[in-house]
Amino acid sequence: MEPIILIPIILPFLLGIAGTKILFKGEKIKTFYVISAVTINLLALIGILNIEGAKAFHLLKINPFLDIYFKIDKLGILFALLASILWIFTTFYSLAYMKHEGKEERFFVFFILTLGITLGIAFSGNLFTLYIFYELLTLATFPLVIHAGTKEALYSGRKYLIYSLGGATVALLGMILLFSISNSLNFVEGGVLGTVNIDNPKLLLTIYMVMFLGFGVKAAIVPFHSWLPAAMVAPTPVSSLLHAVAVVKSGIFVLVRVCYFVFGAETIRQIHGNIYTSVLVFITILLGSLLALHQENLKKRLAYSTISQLGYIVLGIILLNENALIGGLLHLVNHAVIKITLFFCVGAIYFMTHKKNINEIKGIGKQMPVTMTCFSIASISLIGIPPTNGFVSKWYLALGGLTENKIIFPIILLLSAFLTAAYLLPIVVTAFFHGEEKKDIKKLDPPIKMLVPIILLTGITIFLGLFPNVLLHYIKSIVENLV
Amino acid sequence: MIYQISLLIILMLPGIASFLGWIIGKRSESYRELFNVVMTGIEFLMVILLYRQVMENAIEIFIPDIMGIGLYLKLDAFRYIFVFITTFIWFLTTMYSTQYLIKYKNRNRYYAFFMLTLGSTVGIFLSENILNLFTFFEIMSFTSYALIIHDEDQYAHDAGKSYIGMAIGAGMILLMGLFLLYDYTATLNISELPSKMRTLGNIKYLISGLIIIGFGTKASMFPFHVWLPKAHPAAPTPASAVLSAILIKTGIFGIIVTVVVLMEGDLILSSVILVLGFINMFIGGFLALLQRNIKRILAYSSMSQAGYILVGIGLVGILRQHNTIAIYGTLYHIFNHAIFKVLLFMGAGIIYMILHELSINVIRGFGKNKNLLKIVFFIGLLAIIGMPGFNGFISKTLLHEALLEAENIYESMWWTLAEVIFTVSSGFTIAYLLKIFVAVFMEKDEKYCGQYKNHVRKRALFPMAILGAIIVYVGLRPHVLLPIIEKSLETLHAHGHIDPHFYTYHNIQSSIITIMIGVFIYIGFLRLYLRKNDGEKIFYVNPSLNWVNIEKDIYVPILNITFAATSSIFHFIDRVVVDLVLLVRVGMRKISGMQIRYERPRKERKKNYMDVKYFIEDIGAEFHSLSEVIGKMYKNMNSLSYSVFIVGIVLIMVLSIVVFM
Repeated sequence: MEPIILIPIILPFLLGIAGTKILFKGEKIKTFYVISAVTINLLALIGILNIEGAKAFHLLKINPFLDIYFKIDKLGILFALLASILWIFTTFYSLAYMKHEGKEERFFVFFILTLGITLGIAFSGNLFTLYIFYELLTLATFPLVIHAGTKEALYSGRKYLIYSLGGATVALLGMILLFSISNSLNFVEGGVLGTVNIDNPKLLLTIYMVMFLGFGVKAAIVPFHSWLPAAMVAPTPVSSLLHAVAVVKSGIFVLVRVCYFVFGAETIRQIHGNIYTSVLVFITILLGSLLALHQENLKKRLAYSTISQLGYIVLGIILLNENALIGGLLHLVNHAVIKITLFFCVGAIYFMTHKKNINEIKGIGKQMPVTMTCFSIASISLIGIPPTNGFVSKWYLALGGLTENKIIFPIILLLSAFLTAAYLLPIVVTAFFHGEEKKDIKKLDPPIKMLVPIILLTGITIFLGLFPNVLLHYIKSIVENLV
Repeated sequence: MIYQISLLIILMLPGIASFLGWIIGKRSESYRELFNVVMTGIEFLMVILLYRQVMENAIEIFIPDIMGIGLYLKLDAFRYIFVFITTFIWFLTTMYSTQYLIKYKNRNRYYAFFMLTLGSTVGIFLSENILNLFTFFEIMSFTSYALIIHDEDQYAHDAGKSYIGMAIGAGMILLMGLFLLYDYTATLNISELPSKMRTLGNIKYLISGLIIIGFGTKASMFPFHVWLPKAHPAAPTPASAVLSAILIKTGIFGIIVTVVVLMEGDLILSSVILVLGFINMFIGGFLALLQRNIKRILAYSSMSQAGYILVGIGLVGILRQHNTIAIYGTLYHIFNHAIFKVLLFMGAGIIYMILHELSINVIRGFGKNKNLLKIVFFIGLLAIIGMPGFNGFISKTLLHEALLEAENIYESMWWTLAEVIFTVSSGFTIAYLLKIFVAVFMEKDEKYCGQYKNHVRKRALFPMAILGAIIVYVGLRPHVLLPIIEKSLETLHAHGHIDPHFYTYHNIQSSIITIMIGVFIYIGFLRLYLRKNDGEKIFYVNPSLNWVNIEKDIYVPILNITFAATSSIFHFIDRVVVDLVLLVRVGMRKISGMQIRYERPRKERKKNYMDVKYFIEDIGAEFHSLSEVIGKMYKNMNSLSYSVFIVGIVLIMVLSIVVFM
């Protein structure tokens, strides 16, 4: 029964490849095919999660290093479910949105493929497997980034490739060095290094930094973040799903694996790895927020905002205590939901009116009331105003900072929250409270396929803010064993 | 159980009403207005019905799981005063709004946010859990923002920007305080906190300081008051009325909870609040003297009156066992200020409704013939200046007595100074209101000879008449509020019973003296220095326009400089990797651009043409420098792999810097 856990990973590959033939057979077939592909995959995923015993599987084992190994654990399930559910929302959204971008077939082939790879990352049982899927993710999303095919898109695509592949290469170096010490790269709660004596902390620190920075490229850690704003030339569903959820969150996910399943919190504390990285995270949080203020283009503004918010999550990871990690993992989920909503709204504006910049959207709230209301709620949530989900994660992050007796962390968080307000609220205000009042306003809310995901996601934002406990308890049960 | 449910209904009703009203308003404006008035009426009625129960026992309800920590509501006598005044004022202002907003646009939006603000404000006062309180506080900040910028003109947006900026900033500071509070005490329930706060060291001053800054910004506490004089004139009048009467009280409520309940009237903190209260009282009063826009005068007046309340709060801590009288004064003044300030704002609003102008230089003489309006406004004036027989006198007397008590206990010359500031500020109050009253209602102007008489709507005057009646009633029967205040002593950790006598010879005398001082200030300062006559027209000047402005001259420049500096730093960091790569590339080009072989002039080359021809053909190209060699390689090599190579180098460089430095 064990190989059954491969199904949600392999299925999208097969469906994607089959899609190269089927997708071209007409509008209705395409819609049906894409929707059923992602839904079936989610069902398969839920199915295998409920099967007892199917928890781990060696696909190919040549030696302890070259070992393709899948394992299902709670953290993986969290990430896999998050990705799969948001994938479905994005599918509906992009079915409507991609009409005006063209070349939908190519888009959907890679779109489905990427789902499989993301799930592969979630269920990787050791660092080597993770690395393979990590590289695959870069390659599979590359065609999505350069979808428009313009010069700018190609340039950004190249930038994306260079950064991602470069980072992965550096991380590979770290993996090899690490393997020479630990002789195992399997994920173990509390770290594989737990039993190994630390006789060379300097080397270990180097390995840690190399891996942190290498994998951190995808998590957009400064100074390796500039691919993210550049990648905003991609169509909106790509920006929203990949550059707010799948790709960047994979980076984060890998960092969690590295910090808590490979090194272990104790080891990192001993080699003082968290001190070096916290400096970078500081800069990441503030840089993202501050530079977002300077962006006129809505998507770019959201991209810089993503950088800053990813900084929050990484902060939660590197503080190495329970509250902080809870906050980080919560924010992993919350930020995904919030940011995807924001991107969807911005995409809806572009889809309906072809407006990209802030100064063009005066009074658009009166034309697109539903869209902009959702945008406002998501903005408030991203700032971290209760009773939305953004607040819950910020609360835990700040407490985590205080647990470490470092008051600077909550201060940075609040400063960044203030800046978040400064770059998001003007959008809301311009949309609703500027511009003339016209008698007959043309309603421009987007088609139902785009609107429903936006509304549902906004609902989730508020729901998770009012009743965070289910998610919170699940995350607590993950964190308990890690710190 | 029935009480618990009605508590929940009181909290939820405005929110539901806001949504339903919005939907109804899309069909019919008049039904929506009726609906909103009825809803606020029901809300008020329910609060009244709870009175008996609250006087016996506090009503509590806890719903677990909401926001993780649960929703914990409590209605005791102390909170009841705030909830009562809120729902009452909202009922009247909603009634007033239906008249006031007739010519406005976006009325539907206005009512939706107006009701939401009511719901969140009631939520603030009902919260027993301080995180719930913070939640409602933030919601209120956002919903009231929509009210302030309702006009959507440049001025309103500027005011709104100041307001929302300061509100969010204050919210963050408050949240910082809550983080620390929770970190040190591990609880957020207001009733559990005092005993835990007692065990903390000096950190409790940091915590309470942060929380007080957060609340103090809403309470227009100096130096965080800068939003107030801008926001109040910008908002439509019913909104400015509730801003002044109720929203300031949310800040006051938070400060009372922090200073009196959480810190149990800590002496140091109380002294700070006392001093800030005096500063507020004086500066607010003085700046109000100089203004010409009547709504701005009233806004500064609110700041000054908030100062009275802050002084009361400070005295509660300072007087220790004898603090009963200070609590009486504080709570009484909270009630009274709400009543008379709303009345005054409504009066100003009626003028604005007709003339669309608020500067007393323009509206001079407007109210000369409008007797009804004149009378109700005059009642408001008498109340705020503390004329015996009106409600302002009652609370000011109590506060004044508390001040005298403090003077008795701690003998120090500072108290004499305090007494002077108190009296002078009261004098200011009289002077700036006389300024309005004399200019608008007593002076004559040919422009206004009764042609607007029918424009003063009776239905807009009705709420004002109710308020006027309450002012007089409370003024004549001051004991009517004392039972609920006495009951609320429990929440504030105070005991004892006092039976104040308000209409004593001494109190009336000191009130009359204060009024005389005020009249003197009016004649001696306002008429003499601020009132100019250029032969044709009489007008007031505002010298403070050229004075140092805390917002424009201090906050904004500091913010701008910090912003510009940090921005440029982060721009540099943002570009650093990309620039580094470019630098390396340019550097490589430079190096490789150095010529290996001396480039001979063309003629010479022609001479040797035969010699080198085959050689050149052999290697297939002609090049003179390393750059051309690399250029050749560059073409052959996939540009991607080259870039990967560069990034790899950069990554390693950065790494080694990070690790080994």
